[in-house]
Amino acid sequence: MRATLGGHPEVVSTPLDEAAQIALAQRDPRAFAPLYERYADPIYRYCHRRLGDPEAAADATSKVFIRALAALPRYRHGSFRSWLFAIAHNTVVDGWRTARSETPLAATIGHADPSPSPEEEFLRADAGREIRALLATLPADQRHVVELRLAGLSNQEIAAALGRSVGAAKMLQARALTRLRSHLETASAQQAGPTR
Amino acid sequence: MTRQTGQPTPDALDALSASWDALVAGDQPGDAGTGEPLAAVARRLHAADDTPALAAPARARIWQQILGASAPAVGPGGFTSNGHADSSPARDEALLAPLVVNPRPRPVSRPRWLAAQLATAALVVVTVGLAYLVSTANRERTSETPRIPAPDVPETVLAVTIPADYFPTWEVAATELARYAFPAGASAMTDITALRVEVVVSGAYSVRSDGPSQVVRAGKVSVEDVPTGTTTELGEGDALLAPPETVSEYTNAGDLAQMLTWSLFVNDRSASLARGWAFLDGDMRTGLKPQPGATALHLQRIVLAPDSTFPAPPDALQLSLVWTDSADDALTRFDLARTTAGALRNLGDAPIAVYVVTVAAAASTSLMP
Repeated sequence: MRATLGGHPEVVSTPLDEAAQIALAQRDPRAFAPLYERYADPIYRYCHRRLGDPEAAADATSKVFIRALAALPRYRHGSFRSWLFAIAHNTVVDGWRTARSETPLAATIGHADPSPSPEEEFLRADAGREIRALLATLPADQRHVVELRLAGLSNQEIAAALGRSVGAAKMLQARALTRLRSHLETASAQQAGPTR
Repeated sequence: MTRQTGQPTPDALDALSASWDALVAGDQPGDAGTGEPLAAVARRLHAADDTPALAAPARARIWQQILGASAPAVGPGGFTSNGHADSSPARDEALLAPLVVNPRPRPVSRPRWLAAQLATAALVVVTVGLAYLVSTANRERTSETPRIPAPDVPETVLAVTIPADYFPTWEVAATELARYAFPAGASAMTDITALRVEVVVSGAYSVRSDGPSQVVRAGKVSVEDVPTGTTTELGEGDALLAPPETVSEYTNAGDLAQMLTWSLFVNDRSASLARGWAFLDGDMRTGLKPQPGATALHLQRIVLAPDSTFPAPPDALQLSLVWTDSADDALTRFDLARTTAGALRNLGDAPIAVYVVTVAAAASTSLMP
């Protein structure tokens, strides 16, 4: 498989399972490319749900992968996805600010970046708003579990990422859904308006 | 499938969890007996999630940043400490808050600098004294009022005034409190241009620099000047101060050492402070405008109880990280958060040890003789 990351020399990798890719990347950062390809989008969307801003989410995504690559030699076992999302969670919670890091000049070369139309701007700003509004109704610990669910993690992976027991993660998600259900029912009743 | 108390039964929790596992795995969840209304809410959540994907240009840009950050390992000679060169000042005015608030940078003479050290020491003594009084008062009130979670008394690890001439005149800079490991028997060398304050948390090693530096011994407030080329032994609690252009060589002839470093560097940190150290964790701020002036650095260790907070001082920069007993856990702790008011808060359900560094303009100028 040849994976090309826009604007860069091709990164060549062979079909390997994730453990083998990690082992390779622990010796050579360029071998991290397939892992980045696989997880860039879920991590970005996770950060976007948390931060609500595309630029801040992109910055946070960058930090997550830089941290992950720096820490990769110490990664030993367990779910890589859990480990990566634990770093993402830590990165966002611990306050990587929504700073717009300065874009390296070289990074802007060779990338067409036409300005979006007003319609595209509106859609971009609006995307994800509903889900963020729903998540905002939850206490932090419940929201964290649901956010990781939306990122595609299993209950066991969520427990590992958040440093909780599997049972605690189950309880938190049940409470979150119960609360969301109540919220949705209330919202539906309000939309239906008063009845005589 | 709930108990009389309204709590879901273990079977219901298991079934709901299995159903959601199937949903995120892309399988058709089996909802029979799983508390279908809740499973339906989960499906609705996923259906409502239209969070956008990462656009291709941003994906490529991030990959460049990742490769840039790992450049020392990618190939020899291709890395510069300014790999993410600042091409424009940060646009967000909020991020341009001065790192130090001294509006009139000026040289500090030796007597004034010594006075600043003494003033810092006096402040530490007063702070510890006040903290003790507050702690005593809290203990006395315990029997009368409900217990409010409060942080333990902070322990001062290092209080030092960084000389004004140590500060660079960069337009935009970043700063970080970081945790590093220095393997046993290893050697290391400074790898980026940064104003550095390094505190040994465990272990010991020696350092030799190609320029003048300073050392503060454990528990002391006095500063030792270290001449160029002098080998100095650093042990637990000792601190090294080095200006940006100083290159230091480190040798660890003993066991694994761990350090906390505060550093100020150009733009984004794209490498370890020293080649040969292993980065474990860090709290970084970017887009700062350093303003030269004598600067007080205060490193504290505090144990935060669950739900307790540690306030952010006004007109100061504060960085923090959770200290875990195992270095392997350093990047996976998520309990520490910052409130909108800037205070640190333990969101977890167990006490956590936190290192907090506070950097502010030295308040001693008006105390100068």
